[in-house]
Amino acid sequence: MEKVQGIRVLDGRRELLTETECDFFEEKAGERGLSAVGEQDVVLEFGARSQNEGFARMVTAAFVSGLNPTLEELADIKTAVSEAVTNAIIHAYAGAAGSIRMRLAAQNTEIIIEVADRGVGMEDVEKAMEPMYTTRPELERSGMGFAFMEAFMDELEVQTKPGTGTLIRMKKRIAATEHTD
Amino acid sequence: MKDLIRDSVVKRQDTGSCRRIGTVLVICPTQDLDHHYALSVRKEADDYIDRGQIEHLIFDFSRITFMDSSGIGVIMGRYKKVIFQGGNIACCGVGKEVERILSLAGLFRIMKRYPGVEEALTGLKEGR
Repeated sequence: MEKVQGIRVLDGRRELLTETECDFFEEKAGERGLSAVGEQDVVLEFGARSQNEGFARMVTAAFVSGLNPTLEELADIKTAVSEAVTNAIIHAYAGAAGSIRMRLAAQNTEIIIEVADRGVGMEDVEKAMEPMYTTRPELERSGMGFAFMEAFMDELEVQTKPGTGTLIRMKKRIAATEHTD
Repeated sequence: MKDLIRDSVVKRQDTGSCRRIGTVLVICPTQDLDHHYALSVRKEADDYIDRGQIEHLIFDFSRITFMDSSGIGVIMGRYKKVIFQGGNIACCGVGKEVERILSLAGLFRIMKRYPGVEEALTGLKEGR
């Protein structure tokens, strides 16, 4: 039985999650894959094709626009989503068919984004999150994906299990200031 | 919102992104530089570089406002191709969004930045 691994990065500090904290792998009413869908949430499921990366960003941007973000916050969130979705396509499914589920939620001024796949999972999540580390150098992956997700979001959580899948959960507070972009 | 849709969906066809000026290849991505588009930019640039006669590269970002780590891969991969022949790389037209990504990845250490293609051409030729 392969081990569940989870890691949370908050304010630049990394901590390992216990197995019970890795909620992605609990069976929840047969809907394993994302947290329960709240009334205000948006859930999107799409095929693991690179053409859909732009679509995932567009839907995210439209959702986040409701929170009145600055252009910089919007760019940060789009980049983080792009990295998470690209990881699922390239690493989790490695070009094979599969589906990616994305949940968008807002709690007051905080945006929560989950990206889940049922792909190969990661053997060593800590190693995968090291900057410049990549398992696919032949694809010219820069190994910066997780570093960008960490840098652009306030909180990043990764839960993974080899042979089962991966969940990326990211949070970002949108500054509640008045602005005219 | 209209812009959003246009940028992300309608423009997603592979349009030409490269042109050669003497021995300099100008790589000018025309849509969101993500993993999807990176594949075609990389192929088009390599077609030029592998035919020879390309000495330096200019990445012209003036037409894009989005790039993720896939763009870093495109730049690093092309950089490795020209640097060993004594070539150099430069960039221009860098907007706020692209600047953030480039500086976070430390790319301004290997790639000088100019306002436009003309200035970049002059800079590369004079070895500045």
